[in-house]
Amino acid sequence: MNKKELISFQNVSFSYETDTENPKTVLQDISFSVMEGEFLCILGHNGSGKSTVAKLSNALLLPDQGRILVDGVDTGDEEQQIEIRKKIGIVFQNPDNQIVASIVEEDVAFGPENLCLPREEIRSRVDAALKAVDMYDRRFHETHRLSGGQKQRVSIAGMIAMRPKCIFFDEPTAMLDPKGRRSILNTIHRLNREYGITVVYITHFMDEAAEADRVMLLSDGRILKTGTPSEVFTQTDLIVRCGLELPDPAKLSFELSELGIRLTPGVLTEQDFIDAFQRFMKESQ
Amino acid sequence: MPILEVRNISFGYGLHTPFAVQAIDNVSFSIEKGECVSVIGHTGSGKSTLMQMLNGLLKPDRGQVLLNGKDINETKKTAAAARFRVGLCFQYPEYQLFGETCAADIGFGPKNMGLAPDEIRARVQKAAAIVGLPSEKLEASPFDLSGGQKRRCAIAGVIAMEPEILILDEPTAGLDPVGREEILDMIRRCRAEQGATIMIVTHSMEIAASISDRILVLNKGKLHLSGTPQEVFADTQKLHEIGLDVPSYTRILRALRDKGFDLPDAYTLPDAAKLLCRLLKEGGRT
Repeated sequence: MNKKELISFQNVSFSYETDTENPKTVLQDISFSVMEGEFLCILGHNGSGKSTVAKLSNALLLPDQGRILVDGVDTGDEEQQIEIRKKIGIVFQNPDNQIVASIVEEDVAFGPENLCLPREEIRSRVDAALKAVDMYDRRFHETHRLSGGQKQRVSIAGMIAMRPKCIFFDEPTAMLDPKGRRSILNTIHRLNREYGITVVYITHFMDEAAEADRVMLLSDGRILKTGTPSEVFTQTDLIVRCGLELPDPAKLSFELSELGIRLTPGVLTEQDFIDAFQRFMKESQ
Repeated sequence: MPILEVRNISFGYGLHTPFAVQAIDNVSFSIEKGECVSVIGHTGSGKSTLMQMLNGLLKPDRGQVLLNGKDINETKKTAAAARFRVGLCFQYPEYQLFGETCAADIGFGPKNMGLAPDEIRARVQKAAAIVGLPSEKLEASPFDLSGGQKRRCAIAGVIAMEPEILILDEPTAGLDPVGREEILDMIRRCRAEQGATIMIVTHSMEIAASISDRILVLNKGKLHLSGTPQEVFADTQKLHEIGLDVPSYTRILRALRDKGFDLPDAYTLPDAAKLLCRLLKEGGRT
């Protein structure tokens, strides 16, 4: 992809509780870019620093060392921080913490209202955003009667109505059931494809990362690997060491290797496993 | 006599309103002492409603919940007592932590049971040991714990009441693989060391298969299937009907069997690996 750099982390380090005796270092000298229009997935276990990356990207947090450029502007520039936050949005994990209004369309209008936009503009943005997440039919519903997945879609609509260039999704499906997970993931992919919104998707579910353009593996505040999903996922040892979960067929292949049976590396899907196992049987006879 | 018996219970929300939902519809089952039973079903299938009826938080519209043969809803007093006897741990219990220290938080339940301070202290220690919370953490704020530790601290708060049945609603949701294994180990320890009777609500077929003696499958408030993991996963058709599936390991083994390999069913990772290993040693096709 020879597109423009939207976000650039340059040798960024960050610690929490720097004013105490034991600061907790979360990110150590990391550098990476998010390209305009791409779908980047950041994979890491709990506490790997994933969420901190999101908060640094729109100046909710500022780096201790290094710098972060958004569209060429340093996030440390206080006068530009409002502009940066308009460009980079974050959707968090818990749908219940992100709903502010009792009616769906009022909740989505909250952001645009705070941008002091004219009424007609707010109306059209809210309608468009709700249509984008398939919640337009429920625009008059009460938010507290929605399912978790529906609430999360409303949160996303609230973000879209702000018209950001890029949205960080911080484990948006962690609290949803398998059906809700799938629908949110489809919605996010559609936003990326059809609306051209740059997506940074943070998760520890490997199966959710499989459809991303690029995957970045984060562990203990360092980037261990960046590449296409198949480049990263074939490094099964690395992934297990990061405390991440392999897809089930890969786990079975890994378990067999522990028992001394080494199938062809790179098993990800059930079909991969079946093929690799058959091949192994043929060769061992 | 089963420790818990549910006889034809039904429950509806918002009856006589436009939002009326029949959450549970004529469900019956029983649980023996020391059993571990998983409850599986989609969101809205009635799992959480069912769990809340088991400890008297909700009263069934029809039917009975018998604990050791006695209806828990006989009087208000017995319903209140059921809340201590059946320990219900909600989803994301760490959001309910509030104590200044972990010890205070875990001890809250026993304190409300009116136990003596010495007894409370002993129970807190014991519960922390069961969930694997290091004793030096007991004096720390629960908010300084890691995600997995917070979850286990919250579960310890229920265990400290020494309930006759422990119900865990989605105990591994939102945890990473390490945190999840810790919770599953804790459940196995509870069973092995305490002989605990446990019910687990989960979305994961693998967890249900690896940890439980029996599985109850709920769909739209009705009991759709129940039995041992073998029995439930044998009925693929009936699982597919409601959009559920057998564990992926089972699917892989069955696909290999269709290719002519001599493999029985297995439902968990270690069992599947063992079977494949044995097959390789024997080197045999049928």
